[in-house]
Amino acid sequence: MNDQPWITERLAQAPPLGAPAPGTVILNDSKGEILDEGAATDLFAAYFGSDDTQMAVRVVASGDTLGYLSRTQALDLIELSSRGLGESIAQFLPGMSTYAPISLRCPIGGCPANPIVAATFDVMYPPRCPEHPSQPLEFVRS
Amino acid sequence: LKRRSAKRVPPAVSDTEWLVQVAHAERAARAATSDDLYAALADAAVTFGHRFGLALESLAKTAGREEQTENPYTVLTRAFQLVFASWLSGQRLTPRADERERRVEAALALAADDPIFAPLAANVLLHLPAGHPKRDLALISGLRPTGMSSLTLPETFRDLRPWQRVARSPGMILGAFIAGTPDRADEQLAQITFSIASVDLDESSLARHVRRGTVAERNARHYVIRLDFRLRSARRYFELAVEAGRQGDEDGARRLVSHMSAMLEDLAIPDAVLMLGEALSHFAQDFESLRRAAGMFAAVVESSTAARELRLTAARKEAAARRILLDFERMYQVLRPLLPAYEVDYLTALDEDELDAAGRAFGEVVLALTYACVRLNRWAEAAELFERGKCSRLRYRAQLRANYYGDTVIEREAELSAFRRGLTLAAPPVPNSEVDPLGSRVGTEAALLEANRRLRTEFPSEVLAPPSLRALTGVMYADEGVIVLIANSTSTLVAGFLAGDVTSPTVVSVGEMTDAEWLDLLAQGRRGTWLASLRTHRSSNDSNDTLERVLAAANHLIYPVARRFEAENIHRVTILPHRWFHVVPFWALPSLSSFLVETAITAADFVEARTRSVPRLPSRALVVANPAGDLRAADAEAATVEASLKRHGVASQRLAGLGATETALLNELRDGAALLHFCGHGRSDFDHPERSALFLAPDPSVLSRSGHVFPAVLPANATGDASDDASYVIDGLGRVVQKRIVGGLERTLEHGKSGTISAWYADRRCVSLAELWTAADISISRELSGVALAVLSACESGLERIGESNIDEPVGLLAAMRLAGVANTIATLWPVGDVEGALFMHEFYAALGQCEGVVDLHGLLNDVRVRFRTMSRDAALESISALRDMASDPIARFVLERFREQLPNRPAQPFAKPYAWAAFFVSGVGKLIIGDSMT
Repeated sequence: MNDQPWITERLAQAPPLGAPAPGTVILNDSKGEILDEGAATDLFAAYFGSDDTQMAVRVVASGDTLGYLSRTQALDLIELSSRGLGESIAQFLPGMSTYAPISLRCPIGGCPANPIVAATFDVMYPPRCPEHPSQPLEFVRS
Repeated sequence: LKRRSAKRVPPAVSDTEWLVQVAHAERAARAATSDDLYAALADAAVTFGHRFGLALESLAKTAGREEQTENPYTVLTRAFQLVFASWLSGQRLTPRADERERRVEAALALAADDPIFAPLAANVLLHLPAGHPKRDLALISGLRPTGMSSLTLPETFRDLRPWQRVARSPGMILGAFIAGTPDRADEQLAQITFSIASVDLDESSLARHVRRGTVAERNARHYVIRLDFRLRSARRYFELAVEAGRQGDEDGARRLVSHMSAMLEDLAIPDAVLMLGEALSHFAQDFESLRRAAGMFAAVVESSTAARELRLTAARKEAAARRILLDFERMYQVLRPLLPAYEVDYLTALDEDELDAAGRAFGEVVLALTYACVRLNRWAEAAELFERGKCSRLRYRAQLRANYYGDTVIEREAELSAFRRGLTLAAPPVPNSEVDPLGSRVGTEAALLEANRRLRTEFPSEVLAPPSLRALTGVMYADEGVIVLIANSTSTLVAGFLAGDVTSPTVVSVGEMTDAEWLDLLAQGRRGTWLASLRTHRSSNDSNDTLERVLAAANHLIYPVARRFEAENIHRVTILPHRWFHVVPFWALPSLSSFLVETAITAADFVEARTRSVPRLPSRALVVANPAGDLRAADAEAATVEASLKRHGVASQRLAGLGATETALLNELRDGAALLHFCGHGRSDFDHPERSALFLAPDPSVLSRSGHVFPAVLPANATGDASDDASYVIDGLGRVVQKRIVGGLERTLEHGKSGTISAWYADRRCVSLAELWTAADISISRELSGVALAVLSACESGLERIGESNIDEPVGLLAAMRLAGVANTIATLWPVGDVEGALFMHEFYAALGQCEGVVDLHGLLNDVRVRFRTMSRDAALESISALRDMASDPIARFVLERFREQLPNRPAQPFAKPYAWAAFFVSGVGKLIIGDSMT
């Protein structure tokens, strides 16, 4: 059985050469588990869609850096759907969290992990910065 | 009515009831014509049931003592017996919507007075449609006819044939019980007839029964019983003859027909003549036989004693025979005077079965009359008659709403809709049981239906008359041609009219494909069918291939007319489709590529669109974006719509994601938003077209109460097998209906007056949850009446069910929008891609943003289609980038980027295939005023 997260094989060990410093996507859901592909795709889309210059993103799960996802690989995750019933992969559903992407940041000035996108944020147990493991991340109000 | 037992006491009748009964009897006695008499007795039957018979009998006795001879009430008593008997055996007496329930109550009252009538009551109950609250299995079982003791009452009602045969038997048992006290021969003959009608018999068994019956017949006193024996026996011989003929046993068929004829010998009544004619035409091998059969049918049609239903049946049969005999004049003469009768039956049909049967008959007659007129070269009348059969019920409902009591009509329809959803509303007042004893016992739904119907009786039917050919061609533009399509059982007629044609079309072409072949290509074929490909969510390439086949066939059909139009310097073509042609995108036909093409569902719609006032672009718009949360390009589409409208000073309110609830949407419309742009999911439901819907966000307050109905994962016992079909009511919440659908299981909750939450489960996991804004909801809403333009940028929002019968009556979201008063609707015929839809709308609204004055929406959309179809990759890249720049949602931007990245892999013209560019079309007025122009 393969225990690797579904995304591992798409990740590189380092960002592309010459690319701007990548931000971060935290891939955990509220229970600390790895998000499924549909929910994760929205996070990547939110990250890359908000900054056309970003060429890669650092992917973090449970505080560990899993690797780097390039913009091209993130584009490959997008499935184009139609407007018929049953074409969706992430509708608003009962009993399931709606993982609308949210923005976080490391308050330490110049932290290379910023900007950070995550699916969930619990103010009592904020995630830690992958660059500064003792530093809790802050929620960024849009 | 005479009672079987002298010991029985007649039911107590109050003074008031007696007086009302006497008034009815007086009305019947004073009737000047047989129709008046029939109407009076029918009214009395559906009001008092058998108690009116007792009243007449009492009056007859009183009068008899004075006159010592037969008096008017004796005659009325006999007449009433026949009317009452035919009613109990299933014949409709009045147009009342609650008549069926009144019949049930009358039969039960009769059975309560004398148990001998219990079998009749059982038959009447069995006549109720499955699911009717009064179709009580236990009650029916208790009323089981004694002669049917060997029959097991089917528990599921799936095998009702033997029962239904009895239920359809007119006057058979009734004659025995109602016509008086039968002696032994009467009873014996009735029992034999009962067996003949209800048991499967081969020829020799039938002959044995008939021999026994013929002996009993000699001593039977009552005409109704003897007649019933003859007719039922003859009918069974005919059925066996047809079966023999089907199996190639010609001698057997001939022998059986001669037995049938023998049973009908000397019966100079319309029923017998009709049956003889049927046999003659069925087995006719030469024109002379067919001519004789047609003559028999004609005799029934013209008979003053034949019942209405019989005359209507005979007329259709005669027309069919005359068509083969090429006697078009007589075909016209026999059907034309009866057309209103077929039409009324169709317009007032109450349930699916009635609607189907009446629609079949009306549609057949309309087509037959059209065909006859065409063959007689009476084109103007042909066009008018043909149009009469199109969208009749929709036009009828629309006209009712346009009347001064239109609000009441909508209110009644809403009440009925709510009741059918299980909501307990205030029922209509219950009639006084002394004045209307049967009416006081009918159920709420029947009472609501009748209240609804009564509103319609005052409606002048001539308002529904279709426009004349002169009116149709009178509103056409000088450079316009109208194409009328008529598919029938032998060919497809294409008639091309130009402005000023008042007697005949400029060009006529006949296509070889029949209506059945079109149906096969478009809707019912097993493979490669256009609608089937949409149903099964095949890939767009597959769907495009199927669409290309449809377009090739339609192009072949239209080509000759299109060429003639070109020669006549025509630039604009309007198609009036017929039945399944409504699903064909005529604007995508190569032969029409040089024309501006539009469609109109009927000639009446076409004329109205050209003559009614043109709505203005409103100052407020409502943009509904992505209620289900999964259409990632929706934000970009909403942005482009808002930006374009802003150029014209239109303020837009956006309802997005979970905020796009039905309540919020209706509130915005109520507050004056008169342009609706919907960008989300849509569904066309062909089984229940009134449930075709646009998907909105579920109301949080309803979800908070009903969350347990829609678990994220269904328990293991709900995996999609047949047992998963269920319906139950949760007190205080609503009705839950669960059924299997393609790819999983749908669970809906009907809540409130019009709310419906729908969840779709695939592999037991919930993959979709939405509030359905259904065609039924839309059609009873008032909020849309001022909407100038509704753009339904959703899958198959303009794909409607046509129905299986001959009638041309599209039902679905478009029809609902029209009914609700929306002036213009832009909708789709098939599923559209999320990004492609947004891009198309980007182009459309960009074009709209440039418009001023009276905007021809057909022309505008046509331009956009052409631009889309011929758009180069570079232009597409530019357009998608512009759209992306408008989006504020980063996810939308990234999704559009993904689409842009894929474009280089596409053909030089990425949207050249019809499936990519031809889905959208305009329905309605087709115009919009932008700016300060005068209409």
